[in-house]
Amino acid sequence: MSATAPVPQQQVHALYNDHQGWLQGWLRGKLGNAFDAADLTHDTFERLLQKLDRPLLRDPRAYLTTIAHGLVVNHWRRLEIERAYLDLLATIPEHMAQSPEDRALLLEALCEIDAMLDTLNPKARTAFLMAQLDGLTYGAIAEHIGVSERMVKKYMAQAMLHCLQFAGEHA
Amino acid sequence: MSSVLTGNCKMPDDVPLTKAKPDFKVLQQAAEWFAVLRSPSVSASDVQQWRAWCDADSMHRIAWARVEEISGRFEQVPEADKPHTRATLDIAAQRQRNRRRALKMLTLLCTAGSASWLASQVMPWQAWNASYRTATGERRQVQLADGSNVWINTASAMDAEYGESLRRIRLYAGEILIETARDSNSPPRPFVVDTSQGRMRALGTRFGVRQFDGASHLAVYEGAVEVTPAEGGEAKVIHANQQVSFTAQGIDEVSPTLYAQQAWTGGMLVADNMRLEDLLAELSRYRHGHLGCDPAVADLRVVGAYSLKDPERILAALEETLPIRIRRTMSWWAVAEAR
Repeated sequence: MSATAPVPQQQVHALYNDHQGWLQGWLRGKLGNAFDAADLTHDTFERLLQKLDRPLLRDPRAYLTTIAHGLVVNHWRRLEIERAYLDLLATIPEHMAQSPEDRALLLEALCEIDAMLDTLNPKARTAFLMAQLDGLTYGAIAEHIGVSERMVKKYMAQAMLHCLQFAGEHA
Repeated sequence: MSSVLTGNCKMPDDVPLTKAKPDFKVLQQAAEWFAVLRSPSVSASDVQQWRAWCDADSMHRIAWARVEEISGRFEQVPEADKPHTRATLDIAAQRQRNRRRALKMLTLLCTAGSASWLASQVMPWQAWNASYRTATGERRQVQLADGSNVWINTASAMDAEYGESLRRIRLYAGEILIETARDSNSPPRPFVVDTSQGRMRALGTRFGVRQFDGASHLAVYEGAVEVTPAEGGEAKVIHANQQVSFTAQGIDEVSPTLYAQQAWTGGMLVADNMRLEDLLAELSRYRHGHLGCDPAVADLRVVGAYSLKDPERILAALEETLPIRIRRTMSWWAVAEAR
């Protein structure tokens, strides 16, 4: 997405040779298992290839850990959502029929939404989700969360602004 | 409502969408327009003013396109799933908050159904010198004389002996999780769990013990526990969120406890990116008969939370989500293999 020329693959190769062992160890410490650590190490360098638009002169490890940390957070988020969803499904027997592809798509959408709403204040988040997912009116939402309709409208704007800023940062 | 949102604000074709960065003020206006248009009381004049806003500046149109893109993410959720989508997000967010605060995981892991299982199974402590057993697939909670709670997992056996100077549990087989209560005796008696490999003395409140062949395993969730191997070797204090295996001769290296380990007390089996082979080994503790795993599929990864009420349904769910099938040659012989 950047206009500058991509860094030659060579540099990433060199970074890979120098730091992948160390990064994998770092991730292993975070994740507690070698398989995920190997996966996320790979993802980190892939992300680096996409993102890196100028040679990394100083402290490549700090840069790598920043990317890797983001991936670890996403990894935990994914597990958390999937687990919450499966817990819920366990209480709805007829839902077992969903295909794995549909489930994967749904979980992907849920992860995106969850990441987007992270750190938003809980009431605004609830109001926003009630409107977007349950299709409730502002009046109904106001009643549910015990605030005025005007406040619900404020929450909606606040939530959308939060999402817009998130999308701006993660484009 | 969404017809308004996807309405007549022309997409900008003069500026490439991905490069433009509307400033904060514009994003704020776009978000406010979203809240207005989404409202059931939106008026014709609101819509008119919004159009004028869109027309006024290409940055406005870019910001609005972003609003629609974000709103559209919610449309990706199929209608049939919408009712439990919010619940899923709420549960997940709640858990994330709780993890951040490093609070107890136990109650959150249990869904409403399994939590009531706990409530209904609490049994009064009956005999001074009782013997407790559970059958394969059975789980039980018992309350001991001092108010301490013990959850007993599948295929387990233990004794509880309360003497003058000691509260002692002897674990013979299987797995237990203990929540100690403050002893009303004065001075308070120590609380210990003995296995063939040694003694664990509770210095705190909640911990799990499992008896393997030739080894014991201790996981501490709250407080601390002191382990002393039966045939000597130094005692060692294991702190909260640590676990350790030990034999009669010595203690292994300490490692962090896993989120999923206590789930069985809530009637759940939680696979946190578990190898299929390990999951099946765990599952076979809860069902009768042989449950094997072909090496070709042993390394498949599983993520999920399963109710232990019906192990056969877990197998069916695995068949559905993984490229495996369960081959049953006889009623008590089942093997997971590639489909």
